[in-house]
Amino acid sequence: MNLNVKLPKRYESLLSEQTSLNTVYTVKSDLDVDGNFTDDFYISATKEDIFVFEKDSVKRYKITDFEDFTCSNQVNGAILVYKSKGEEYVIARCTMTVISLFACFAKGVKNFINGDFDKIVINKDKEKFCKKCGRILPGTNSCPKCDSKNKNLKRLLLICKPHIPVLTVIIILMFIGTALSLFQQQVLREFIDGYLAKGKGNEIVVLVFFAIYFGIILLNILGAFLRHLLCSKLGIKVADQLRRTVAKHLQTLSLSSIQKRSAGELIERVTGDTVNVRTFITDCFCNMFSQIVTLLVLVVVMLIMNWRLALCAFVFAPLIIIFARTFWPKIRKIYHRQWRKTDRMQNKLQDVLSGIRIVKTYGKEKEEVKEFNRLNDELQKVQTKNEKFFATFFPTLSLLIAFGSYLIVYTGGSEVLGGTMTTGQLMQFIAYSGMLLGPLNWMSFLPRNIVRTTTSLERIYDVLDEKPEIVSNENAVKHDIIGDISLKNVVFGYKNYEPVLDGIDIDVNKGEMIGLVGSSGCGKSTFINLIMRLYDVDEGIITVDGVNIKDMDVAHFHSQIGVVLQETFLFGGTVLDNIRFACPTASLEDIIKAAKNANAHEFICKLPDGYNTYIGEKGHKLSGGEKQRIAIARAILTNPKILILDEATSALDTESEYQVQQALERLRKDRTTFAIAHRLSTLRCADRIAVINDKKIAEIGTHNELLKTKGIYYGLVMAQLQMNKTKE
Amino acid sequence: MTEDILKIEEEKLEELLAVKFLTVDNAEFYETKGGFVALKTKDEDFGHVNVIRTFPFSNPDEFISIRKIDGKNEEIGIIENLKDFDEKTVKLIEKQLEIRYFMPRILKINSIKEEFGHTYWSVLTDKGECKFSSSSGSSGSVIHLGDRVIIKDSSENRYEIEDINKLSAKEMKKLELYL
Repeated sequence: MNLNVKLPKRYESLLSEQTSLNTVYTVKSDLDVDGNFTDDFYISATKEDIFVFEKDSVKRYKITDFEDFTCSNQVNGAILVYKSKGEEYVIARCTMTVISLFACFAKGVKNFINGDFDKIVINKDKEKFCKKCGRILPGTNSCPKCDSKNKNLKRLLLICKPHIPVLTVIIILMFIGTALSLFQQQVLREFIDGYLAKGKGNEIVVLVFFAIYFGIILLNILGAFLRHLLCSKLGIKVADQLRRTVAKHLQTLSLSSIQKRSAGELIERVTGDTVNVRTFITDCFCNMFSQIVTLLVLVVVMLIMNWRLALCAFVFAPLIIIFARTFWPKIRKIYHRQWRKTDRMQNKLQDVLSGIRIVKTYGKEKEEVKEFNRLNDELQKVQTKNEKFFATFFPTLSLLIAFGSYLIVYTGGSEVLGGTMTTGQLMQFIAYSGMLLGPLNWMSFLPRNIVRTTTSLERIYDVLDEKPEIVSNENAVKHDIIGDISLKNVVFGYKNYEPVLDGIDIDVNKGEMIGLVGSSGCGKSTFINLIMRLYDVDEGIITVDGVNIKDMDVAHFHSQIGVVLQETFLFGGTVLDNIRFACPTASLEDIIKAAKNANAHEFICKLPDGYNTYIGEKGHKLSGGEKQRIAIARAILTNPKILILDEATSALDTESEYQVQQALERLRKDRTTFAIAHRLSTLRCADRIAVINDKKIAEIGTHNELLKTKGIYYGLVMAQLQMNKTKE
Repeated sequence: MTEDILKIEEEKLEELLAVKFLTVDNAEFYETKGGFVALKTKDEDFGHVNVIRTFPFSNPDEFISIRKIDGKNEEIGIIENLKDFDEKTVKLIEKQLEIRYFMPRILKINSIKEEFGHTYWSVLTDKGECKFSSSSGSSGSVIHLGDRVIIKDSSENRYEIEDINKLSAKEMKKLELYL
């Protein structure tokens, strides 16, 4: 996001009266200092001053008068606070919409206070709203309204290009279909006018007409079948191609890119959005030519046949479409209402059934039944109301459609009686006027379908166009890790306005085990995410054996790290697959060795299918401890140079923990290890313990050294001693 | 030795678990030069303090937690009911709460439009006219708290409709689809 927006002209001239320096940062806020919405509040910073513009006036603050300048996060907003002569003052306020800009602004001004005039802060967040129209950007860089819809449709056409032969066959089949439908009515007309009305012909004539008529119908059905088959195949092929490309690309994206969207959103892009594209190709793209041609031919034929009757039909057909479309929002509304009520009832039921043990333990069955009945009653009321609406709407629509036909029958009937029209022509006309509804209705939905598809394409290409943030440089080295790790002034935050770690400095020697402790959410896991280079640091540098990890080959670097995380994740598959995940070439003997080291071999042998036991959602259910041990075996197998243990032994029982601790101790020999643990006893073998507090390493040293300083670590040890005593 | 330490720790723990109420008798709130709330008790002048609602929706003026502004954000005490304090203090704390909790109250719904999978709201709030957008598909964008409705926009701002029953029939019709 732009951190130096252009000031309105009136404020630019006010600024030039005050200073000759250029602004380094300018942010437009959406609130004034009193917390009221405004469109007229700007805050700018030059390297010497802060300027606040509002209500056609400017206030100037000298940065040299500031001792501090911060963005203080509030609930659903933030304030910019400066400190001068020991007192804090609010200088600006904003909502969550601008918060990330405010945070960067504060960071930038703080650099000036510290004399770092060349350190310019950049806001990495994407723009959320379209600059032209203010519409929300759907997680992409282009606006669904302002930016060309054609761009992505063109890209879709390019994907379709190899399928042009199939498309040509589809179009030919459609033309044949349209021609047959028109001809079918012509045959009927000939039959009525040529034979029935004149009382001529015999059974053979009837049979011939029946055969022709039936033949046309059969041909039409066959054509429709082939057309549908080819359309579906084309749609499925294109969607399949898109799905593969998106899924493949997702794997190459950095964790930060993936995590800024929810798993559900990404799944929706791989599955839902590609289905929308498929539906478009099957239902719209392939039909487009035939529908347009059918409509044009019908209009021309009907006008030639009888322009007066044609006008009757042309007036009524759009009326029917307009009537149906007018009620469309209402229908959507009532469907939505019914869906919400059903959803609430189902959620309640799911909640109660998931927590049935709690419900029963607290004896709350009656209350739950009462609540369920209330939601059920609400749903029933909505359903009854909706059914009443549908019972009225559809017959009315049918009446309207019928009325159009009645009018044609009436007018046409008079003409037949007057001798200006034949019965066959009338029959043909009625059939054609009915056929008009199809293309018209289809066309009325076309804009919506196009928008839905372009939005889906937008979201698909948004992922595809995104470049992975963590990639190997051109000159990346495949460094074989020895194990000296160093972090210098590392700053990192998942969100621009919220640093999780701020100024981390630590040097770790080869083979050293560093225990990381601190309260929940203090940044321990973030610390190891940075070491593993799942994210890149915002500021500072991380080196391994003196080489910046940004200069290393990512895949090669990752292959030398072993990880056992707090939330053990096992993939759907066998125990063997899961242990082998990190090293697919490992021999069965290596796998058993690793499992033995992880204290997992014994329980795996007791499983019905041993190492081939299927685990995962529908497979054998493993306990938390068992899962953890499989994860440890997985980590052991790769013979990593850096070992990361994030609460690795938290889910183990005391006996297993002891054995796993021994295994880990064997494993960590000659390996640089970072271990996070809440249970401090787990870290007794750590060479040094780092306490993370307030975004920094607050204390570091051996267990004994830290106890002596009587700081945070001492407090944590005492609290755990107290806890153990209480348990006794 | 260890026993002594444990005893001290036990006392600390009990102290931590006790709810300390700040009343007119033991606490004096004053305003800093910069307009922030500061607290002085018999034993200590804490200076600028944080003011936090423990029940921001159900009991906004009760059980207000007063905390130190340092990194630990340690609780100094709780105000059981803001109304027990004098008018000046109430105003001072309310001003601070107003800064901390920004949730405009929707007074009138001008329009709700749906375009490209997002809902665009134009409303009049107690903080002025405002336009915002929320995700149409997201179930978390409208939260029901009885008759009160909280709407969350795409930037995570929250807007409150105090009582949906007080909306006009026209406004209700616009809102209905999103409830």
